[in-house]
Amino acid sequence: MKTEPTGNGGLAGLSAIKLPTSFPLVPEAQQELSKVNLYDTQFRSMVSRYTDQLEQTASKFISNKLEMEALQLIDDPLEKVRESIQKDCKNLIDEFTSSGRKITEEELERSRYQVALTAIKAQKRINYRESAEVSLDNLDVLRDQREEISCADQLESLLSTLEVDSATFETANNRLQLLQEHLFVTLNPESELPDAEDDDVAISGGKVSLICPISKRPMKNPVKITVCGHCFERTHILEFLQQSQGSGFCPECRTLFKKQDLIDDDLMKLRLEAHNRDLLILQYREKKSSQIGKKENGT
Amino acid sequence: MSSLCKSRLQEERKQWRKDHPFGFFAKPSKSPDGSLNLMYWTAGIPGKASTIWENAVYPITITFPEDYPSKPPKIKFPAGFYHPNVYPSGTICLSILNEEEDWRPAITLKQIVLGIQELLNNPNPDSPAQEPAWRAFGKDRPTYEKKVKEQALKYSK
Repeated sequence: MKTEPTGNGGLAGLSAIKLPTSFPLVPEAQQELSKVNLYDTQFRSMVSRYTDQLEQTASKFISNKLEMEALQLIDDPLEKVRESIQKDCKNLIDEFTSSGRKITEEELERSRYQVALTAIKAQKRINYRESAEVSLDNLDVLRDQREEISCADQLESLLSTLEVDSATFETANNRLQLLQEHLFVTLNPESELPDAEDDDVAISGGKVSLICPISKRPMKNPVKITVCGHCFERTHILEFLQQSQGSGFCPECRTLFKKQDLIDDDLMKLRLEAHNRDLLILQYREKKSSQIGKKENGT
Repeated sequence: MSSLCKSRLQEERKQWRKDHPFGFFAKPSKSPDGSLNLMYWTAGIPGKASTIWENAVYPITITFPEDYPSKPPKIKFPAGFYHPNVYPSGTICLSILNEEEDWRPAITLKQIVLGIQELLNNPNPDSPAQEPAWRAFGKDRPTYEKKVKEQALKYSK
């Protein structure tokens, strides 16, 4: 981390983007601006490139394609297949995170530049005000000064439109985190998310339960009570709520909730899909290895 | 019977048959026509070893309401059962079986019967359900233990 800009003192802290040394500053400053603009474009394209790749990897894993991959590697334990996929994903995420960090640093420089520009402009304006009465002698000087100020104004407004949209970065980060979670549960449908400090999900024996606590059967359309995080089969929690006249307590922990506190639990849904996929893979593998066994016995 | 109630009870039966705590039994009753009545079960709770309740299996009946598991089942010992938290009718006073208190639809049959076994030797003096056992438990422990042991003989294995 570099030093924070503190008023005019911050000017000295600038390094990556050099401040123009003289007015009018249009040509040099515009060069700087094009640089900022470049970062911004790079950033956006990078965000979409990496997140797209990650999404593809994640959805690919759920898809039949990957099932087939796992099946073809019939001699390798499923764990090994998962490990290699997990490694690929981790590399992608690491790369993304480090690029993201670089962009954040550049963005900090850009905002310092803006602070400096404002400071210089204010200084110029004071100079302008303090200068002598308009006379034939100083008319040219005053006009130059006024031009400089309006030039700086334009520059400033341009800068602010080029601001690396911090929301872009935040959105990307959120998307990334969601992806990491999705990826994790598609690989480990019954494991608790790493670093999950709050016990959102019912855990039995270190596993996340895929069973609806009301019917005790596997869920198909899981919904979550937002206030406590417990998860149920949609029709069952709705029936339960109806029997409790619209305002009930969580069947798992007795927290009070209303119908509008129920949302689709996409992560749980993914867990269920991934779990079913694993069952299919295991079935297929068993079938295939018994076929191989028969062949060997036959010869 | 709602479909939820029915499917949950079928699941409870399946789970119980697959795995249940040692010494317990629980089964749905049979209707006159021979079919199973999932709404009404009979079960047995073994007294814990090394307690005055040991060497006996205490019979209970479990009645599931139409809106189970939203509402808890009603569980009874035989009428006149000697225990501070059992009403003269045999109905058990236990917070996890009370809708207003700690009942949650997630509670399983297994958890319920284990809870009752625990209650046998650990009565709750703050919620008396019958006069004789409650008074003896608090004021005349020798009489209490004698009565409990007599009852254990009656239900001995």
